Formats: sequence, structure tokens, C-alpha cells
Amino acid sequence: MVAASAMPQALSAVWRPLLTGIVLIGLIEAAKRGHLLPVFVPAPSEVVMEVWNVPRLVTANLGPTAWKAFVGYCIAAAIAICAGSIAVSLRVLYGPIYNFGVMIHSVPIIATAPLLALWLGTGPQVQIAIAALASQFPMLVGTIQGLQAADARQRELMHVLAASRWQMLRYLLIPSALPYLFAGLKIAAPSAVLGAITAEWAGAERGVGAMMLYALFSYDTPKVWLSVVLTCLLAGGGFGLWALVERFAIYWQRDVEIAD
Amino acid sequence: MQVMLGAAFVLAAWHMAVRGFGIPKYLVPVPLEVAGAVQLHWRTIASQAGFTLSAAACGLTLSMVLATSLAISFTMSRKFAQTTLPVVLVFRSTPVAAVAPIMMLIFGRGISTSMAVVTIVSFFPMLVNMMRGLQSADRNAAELLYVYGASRWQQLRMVRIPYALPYLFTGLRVAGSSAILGAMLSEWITGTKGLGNLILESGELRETELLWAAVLTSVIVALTVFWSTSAAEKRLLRWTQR
Repeated sequence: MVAASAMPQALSAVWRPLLTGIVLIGLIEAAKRGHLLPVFVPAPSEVVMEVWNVPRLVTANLGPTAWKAFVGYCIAAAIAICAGSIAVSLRVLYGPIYNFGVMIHSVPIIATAPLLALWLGTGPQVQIAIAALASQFPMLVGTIQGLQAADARQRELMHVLAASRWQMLRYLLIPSALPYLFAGLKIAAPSAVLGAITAEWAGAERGVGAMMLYALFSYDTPKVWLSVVLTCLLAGGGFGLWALVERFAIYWQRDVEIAD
Repeated sequence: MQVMLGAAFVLAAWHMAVRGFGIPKYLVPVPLEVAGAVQLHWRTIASQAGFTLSAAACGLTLSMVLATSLAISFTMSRKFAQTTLPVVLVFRSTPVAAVAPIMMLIFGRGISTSMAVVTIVSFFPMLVNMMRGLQSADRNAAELLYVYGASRWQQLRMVRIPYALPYLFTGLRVAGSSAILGAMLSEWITGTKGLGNLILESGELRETELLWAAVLTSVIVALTVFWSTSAAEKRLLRWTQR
């Protein structure tokens, strides 16, 4: 039911931006052919040719970055959700946990990349750790805010109905927490990608970030733009995936805003 | 006071832990050694931090001016908002890691790259908060001015902007930490002067004390920006008694 009604809607929401994008790319291509654009903007066809000529360039770099971001994201999600639940259920720990999250969030995480490289070695561990650190905060806030979202009257009703703690969790707390949790998960996905890529700048053999850096130093404009497009795809893909899951998982409520 | 005590406690615990577990110096140096490095290299650290901070401040100012003027014109004209908003949304969803290399291609290896990155990164939170602020004006006050026959400009100046001021600080708070991050990131990628580059270089040269000193400086800078802007925000929020 939901899928049937949602699909045409989604389609109609998609085609307009898609058309704009195609027209824009065509315009850029034409302008570049007419030598109207500065050197730092390559023709879209050049970027595509870059993929066409060396397909390994994309597969060898996109995979590791996506994997690192994903692992870091999963670790961060597990820890943040656990910590958030603990913070809500044990009031004493609320302050310390939340403030610790804020601390990590406001520290420029990438500044710690060389330190982490010293501790963890120069493998993918560093990028995973930074992806995790960079993406934890929205999920923590989402969990905390979500578990507090059920209002007092609903809680009282459950109490009056003699609901057990488990039932309380199952029928009230989790459903009311889900929108916030999804909002947090959604926002955190691009941050994980961002963390992984910036950590790659600090030193990695493969990955979108490494590719970007090499291309920048050799002033290979099409390759720079290719890596930029890949970055956007990864970040947008993570966000979009969660948005899709959210749409089908919690069809009863949408669009909550979590505090930053 | 509490902060001082907390910092002293952390330093003491740090010292004890390093000494107690016998952690080698190249992994974690003792606070005193870091302090020594700060004393030895304070000129470098200060000048690099100043470089980063000025890039962040210039970028923030620029984006504040841009975001404020754009938000005001959005509230003045609905048509303008409808045509421009999609472009702004595209900017919102591009990550810093994607913006920085393009800015470097455009502006080269200078402070202007950092400024441009900071401007773009901090622009969106500012814009959102300014728009929220301009729309938050008290309805009664706005109506009163309308009844008095105030011009649009007068309405803006006397009601909307004063009501929007606290939101400006909310925007600054959110944008502030990302501004420092953006500045450091772009220094990182361009390899020019600045705190980000200092950290990267000392990390590569395995100068652990200097690395720690630089990392701690950047953390302190970021936290100071965060705290001062949230303090200013709280102050103003109390003033408006929301």
C-alpha cells in the first residue's frame, strides 16, 4: 500500500531536479567546448572519460573509503545508541555522557588524526576511528531526545494499564524514539564519509581522499572533480539510504528536528 | 573556577597515567614536556593559530554578511526566495571534503582558499537561523507597526532585526565550530601556513611534543569559540526572555 502510493510521488519529486541537473551538465559541456569556462572547471565529458579510461581508478578508491566510513559509522552507531540509552535511564550519567559527546563533537576531530596514526598505526584503523568520532554526535542526541520524546500522559497511561517495563519500551518508548533516531542516523551518515575522507588526506594509500590529494598536487582537474563527485555520491548515498528506510519504517511520522 | 579545577585534574591524571603505565614518550608525552614544547615553539604556534583564526574570522564575517542580507531579501520577497532556495540547498548538501578541493583549484594555495571554504561551510547554519529569527518577530509588534503605516524598511529595522539578533548568535555558535574545522581542513589540503598544517607536519616529522602542543591549541581554540558563542547566545536569550 505504502509503496504503491509512494512510488509515483517519489518519481514526480525526482524528475524535476534530475532534468535541471541534465540541462546544467549540458550547458557546462557546451560552455567548455566554446572555451567560456576557466581552467578549473573541466567538461563533464572529460570527467566521464576519466572513469571510462581507467575504471579501476573508481573501483579501487571508492570501495575502501565506503568500507571505512561504513565500519566507523556502525561502531559509532552502536556506541552512541548504547550511551544514549544509558544516559536516559540513569540520570546520574546523563550530564557526563552528553558533555563528553559535545566535547568530542566540538573538538576539530581531524586535528587528532596524526595522534591516532601514532597510536593505531597507519592502516585503515585511523580512518575508521575518525569516521566513528566524526559521526557519533547526531546519533547520541537523536537517541537521547527520542527516548525522552514520549510525553508524560502517555507514560501515565501505560502505567495505569499496568504495563511491564518491557511493554513500556516496546509499545511506547521505542516507537516514539524512532523518528529522532532516524533523524540522527541520517545526519550522521555524511559526517562519517567526511571523516573517512579527511582522514585519508592525512595519509592513506587508497581511497577517495588519497585520490583527491594526488590529483590536486598534479593539478589534474578532471580527476579532482571526479573525486568530488564520488564524495558527494557517497555522502548523499548514505543520507538517501536512511531517508528511504525511514520513509518505509516509520510511515506514521516524519520530519522531526533534532537539536544541534 | 570549576573549569580550572577540571583542567588541573585532567593534567594530573594525564601525568600519572603516562608515568604509571610507562607509556613511551613518542606515544603520549607528559604535560610538562608539552608545556616545554609550547614554550620553545610558542612563536610558531601563535603565528600559525593566528593565521587559522584570521582565516576563520574573515570567512565567518563574510558568510554572516552574506547570510544576513540573503535572509533579509528572502523575507522581503517571496519570489526571490523560491528561485534562490534550491541553489542554497545544493550548497547545504555538499560536504566540506568536496568543497575544499574545488576552492583550492580556484583560489590556489593561499589564505583565500581557507576563507572561501569557511564562508561556504558556515553559510548555511547562519542562513537557516537568520531566516528563523526574522520570522520569529512578535506578531503584535509587527501588526502595530503596520497600523502605524511603517514602511517595509522600518518594519525590518524596528521589529524584525531586533528579534532576529539572538538567532544570529545561535547561527554563530553552530557555524563557529565548523568554521575552525573548515579552516584547518583547507590548510591541510593546500599545505599553506596554519594550525592544520602545523599538526600535519609535526605528525609526519614525529615531533610528538610539538604535535601535542598544536593539537591542544586547536582544541582549546575550538572550545573557546564554542563556549564564547554559546555564552553570548545564552546571554541574549535571557535578555529577550524567550
